[in-house]
Amino acid sequence: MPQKKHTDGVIGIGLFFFSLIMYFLVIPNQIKEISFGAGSLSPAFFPKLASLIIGFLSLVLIFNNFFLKQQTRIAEFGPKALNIILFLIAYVFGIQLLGYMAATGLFLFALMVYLSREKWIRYILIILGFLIVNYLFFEKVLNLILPRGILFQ
Amino acid sequence: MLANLIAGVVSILHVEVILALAAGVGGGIILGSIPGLTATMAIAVVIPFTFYMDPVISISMLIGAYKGGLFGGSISAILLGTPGTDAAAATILDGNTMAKSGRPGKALKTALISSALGDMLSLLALIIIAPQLAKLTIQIGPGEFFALIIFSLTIIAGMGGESVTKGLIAAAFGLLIATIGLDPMVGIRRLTFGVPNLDSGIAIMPMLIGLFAVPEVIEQLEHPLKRNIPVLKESDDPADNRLSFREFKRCIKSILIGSGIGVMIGAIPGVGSSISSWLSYKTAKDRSRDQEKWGTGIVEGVAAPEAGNNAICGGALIPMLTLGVPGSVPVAILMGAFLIQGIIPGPMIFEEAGPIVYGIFASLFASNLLLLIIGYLIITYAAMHFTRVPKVTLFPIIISFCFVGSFALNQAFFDVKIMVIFGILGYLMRKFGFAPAPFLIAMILEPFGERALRQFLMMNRGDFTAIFRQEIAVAFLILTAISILAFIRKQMKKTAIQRVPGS
Repeated sequence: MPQKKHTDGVIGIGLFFFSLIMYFLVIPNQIKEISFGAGSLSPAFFPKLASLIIGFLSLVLIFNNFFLKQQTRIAEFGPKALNIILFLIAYVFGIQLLGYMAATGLFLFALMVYLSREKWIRYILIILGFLIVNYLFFEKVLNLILPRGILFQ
Repeated sequence: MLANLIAGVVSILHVEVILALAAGVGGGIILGSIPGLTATMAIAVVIPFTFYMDPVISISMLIGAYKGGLFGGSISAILLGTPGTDAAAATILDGNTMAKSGRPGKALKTALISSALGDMLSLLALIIIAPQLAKLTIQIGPGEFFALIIFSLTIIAGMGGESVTKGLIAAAFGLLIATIGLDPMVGIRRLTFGVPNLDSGIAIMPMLIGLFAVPEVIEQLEHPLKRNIPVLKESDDPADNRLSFREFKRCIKSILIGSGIGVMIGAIPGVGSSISSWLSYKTAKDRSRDQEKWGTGIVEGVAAPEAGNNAICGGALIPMLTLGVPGSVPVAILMGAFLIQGIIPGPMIFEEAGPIVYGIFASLFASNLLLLIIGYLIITYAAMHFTRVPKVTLFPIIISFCFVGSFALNQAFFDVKIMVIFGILGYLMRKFGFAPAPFLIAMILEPFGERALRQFLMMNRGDFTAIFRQEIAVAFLILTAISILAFIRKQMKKTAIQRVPGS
């Protein structure tokens, strides 16, 4: 991604609106304002304070960027990163559907092959070894029941 | 204190404790030696193995992984010239030069002995200082504690890297996220959006595994996968691959300097092991009679940063144990492990969990010895292999560990989803220049700060100005104001530099 001049400013604007939404919409809807006598703070006090701080600092970020011309370095996004994130999300749904063992086997194999197609037979052996050790250690030694998945329940 | 320490030693003299420690140290060294994996990652990977253990064993295993991870970073720094962890970057100067000139064995052994000695000296400082400091801090009331947390948060925002404003925004987000769940005083739901799993708040472990381990893996995988193959030739002369007693004597001054700096830097929240190792290197060099030889591959140049970065561990545990303030990410993770085990770090820890704390002190001592033994075996027989572990198989497996680690504690799949959400958030934060460390530490400190402020206001019938009548609180508030002014000055200086044409 090319280095943009106003990324910080745009982030600042986004955060400012986020803080406004939190302060005026989300917090009043999600937290009951209750007072328990003198000196007691409302449960909404800290969330509101945090939103105010975010709002104020986002204004500082906007000011620094648009008026003082400051822009922190923004790292490049590799095209692979998005795919890896999609793999992670698919893994979550895979575990819910197929259970930890099957989903892990598929996820590991798919991700390894995606990263490098050179030695896929070796990948299968490594994954099988990993799954066996995982099963023995977590299920048999620690008695941790790993997710079974909707299909195998 | 001596009786407590002896009781602590007796409590860890069990096979399972020693095995857990050895696994933590060994795992930490192996993971730390792989380029791209930090000591934080070493702890994150070890976490799932510790949930079902006794508090002393589990925390010792995590501390073992932390120490092993710090030392492991120096293996790749020396053999590959790529630091496994940021903390080991200063070791490259002399360590990698030694390796390239046929003396990798000597450099690795110097690093090992210096790391273990630095660790040992910082442990002594911890054992001597922490109980005494706890006796002083026990008198701290809610007002002072709130002021201390405000001060810590301001300092920690400095960990935001390039931009203090972004560090503070990350910390404010941490505060906001920490308020999700039941209100600590009156039990009302806050920001749960009707999701029952959120009543107990965002679980710390899945969140931090997501925030730190997942983005690290994504970043490693998104770049082209190169295998690290060190082209090193070992000298045929055995003297070139061992550390002689004369050389060790030459290192003692560097080790002492590095250890002193490490303990001090470790005790200051937000500074970190990377600065400690560079400062140790520079200070030891400035105080050396042969300054011109530094950087050409001398043992003192390896000893100083290695002692400096490992001595961080004991130093960093001092504010965490006595005040409940974690100064760095690995220590914040350790604090999370304490909380999960029902131990609340802070002034009362020696009163409430004395035997456990002394057991942990004893296990820290044992883990130092194990670091020497396991570290020696690894650098003699296997170091080269670990630096060559292919990323394509290792990193996907680490992600799988992250999933188990997030699921294991509460056996709740909801926590896995939290881990993935924070993993994506952590990745975006890194890319847009928001350091995740202030976020995490603010999130851990918020419940303590909020409780302290609310107790203080109830005690003073809502009069916040009463805080200005408490000397310690005022001192912390003044320090906070000074830190903010220093940040503003730094920011203005930076702007002035940027405005000078061509600068």
